[in-house]
Amino acid sequence: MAELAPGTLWFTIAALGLGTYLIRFSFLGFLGGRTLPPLALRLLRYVPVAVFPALVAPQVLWPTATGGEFDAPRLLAALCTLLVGLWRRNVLLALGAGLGLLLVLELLRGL
Amino acid sequence: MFWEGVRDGTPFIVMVGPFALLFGVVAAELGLSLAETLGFSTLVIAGAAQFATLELLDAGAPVSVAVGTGLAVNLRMALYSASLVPYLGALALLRFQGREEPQASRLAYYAGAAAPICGIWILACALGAQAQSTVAAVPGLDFAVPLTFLAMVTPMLKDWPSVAAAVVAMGLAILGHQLPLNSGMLLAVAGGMVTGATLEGRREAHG
Repeated sequence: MAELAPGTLWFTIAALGLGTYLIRFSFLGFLGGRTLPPLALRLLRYVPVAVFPALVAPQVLWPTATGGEFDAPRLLAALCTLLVGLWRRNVLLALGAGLGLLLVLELLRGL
Repeated sequence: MFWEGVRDGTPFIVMVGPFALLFGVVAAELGLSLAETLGFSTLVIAGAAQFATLELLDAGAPVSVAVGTGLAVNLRMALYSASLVPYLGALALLRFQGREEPQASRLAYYAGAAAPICGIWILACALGAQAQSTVAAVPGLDFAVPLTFLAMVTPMLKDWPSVAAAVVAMGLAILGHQLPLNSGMLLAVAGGMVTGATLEGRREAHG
C-alpha cells in the first residue's frame, strides 16, 4: 500500500460508505416512484462493464507485483479467467481457473 | 416474514463468502488493520467498490479518484433502489409508524434476506484478514484482485454494446495510464459508458 497520511483511510471508508448509502437510499428515500431519464439509465447500465476492464487492463500489462514489468504468466492467467468466464458464465469458476493457472506457472518458474 | 427472508437469503452465502474471504486477505495483504478491513465491510458493504477503491489507493491514486471510482462502481445500485420502490414503497425517514401492513411485512422479509448475506460478508472478511499470514505465501495471490474483476465482468458481456464498452474502456485505460492522478481511469470509464449507450441507442433506432 502506498504511504497514506493518518486518517486518510478512515476518511476514504467513511466517504465511500456514506456515498454508497445515499445511492442505495436514493429512490427508496428521496425520489420515490420517479424514474430516471432514459439516457441516464442507458449510461448507468454500462458503468460496470467500463469500470472493471479499465481497472484491470493496466494491471495485466504492468503488474504491481513485478514492479510494473510485463509478466507473461499474469497475462496468461488473465486470458484464462476471461475465457473460462465467457465460456461457463461462472464468476467463481473463472477466478479459480485463473488463480490456479497462475499458481502453477509461478511454481514452474521457481524450478 | 423475517424468517422467510432469512431462508431465501441464505443460499447467497455461497456466492458472497468466497469474495468476502478474498477481500479480507487482500486488505490484510495491503497492510490494513482488522478494524480498517471491517470498517470497509460494515460501512460500505459493496465488494466490487471496496476492491476498486483499495486497488486505486494502493496504486497511489488520490482519495478523490479512489472514492469517485468506488462510487461509480456503486451507481448501479440507484437502479436497484428504484426497482425496490414498487415492493417496499418510498420508505422516507420517520414514516415507519404509519406503515401499512403489507409494506411492513415486505420490509421484514427484505431485512431477513439481507441478514445472512451481510452477516457472512462481515464474518468472512474477518476470517480472510486473520488467515492472510497463512495464505500470504501462496504465489500469484497478488494478482487475485485483477482476476476477480475480470471474472466479475464476464457475465456482463452478453451483447455487443457491452463488449464494445469494455474494449473501449480497456484501450483508453492503457493509453491513459501515464496521465496524472490516475485520471486516465475516469476518462476510460466515461468513454466506455458513452460507447455502450451510443451503440445501444443506434441498435434500437435500427431495430
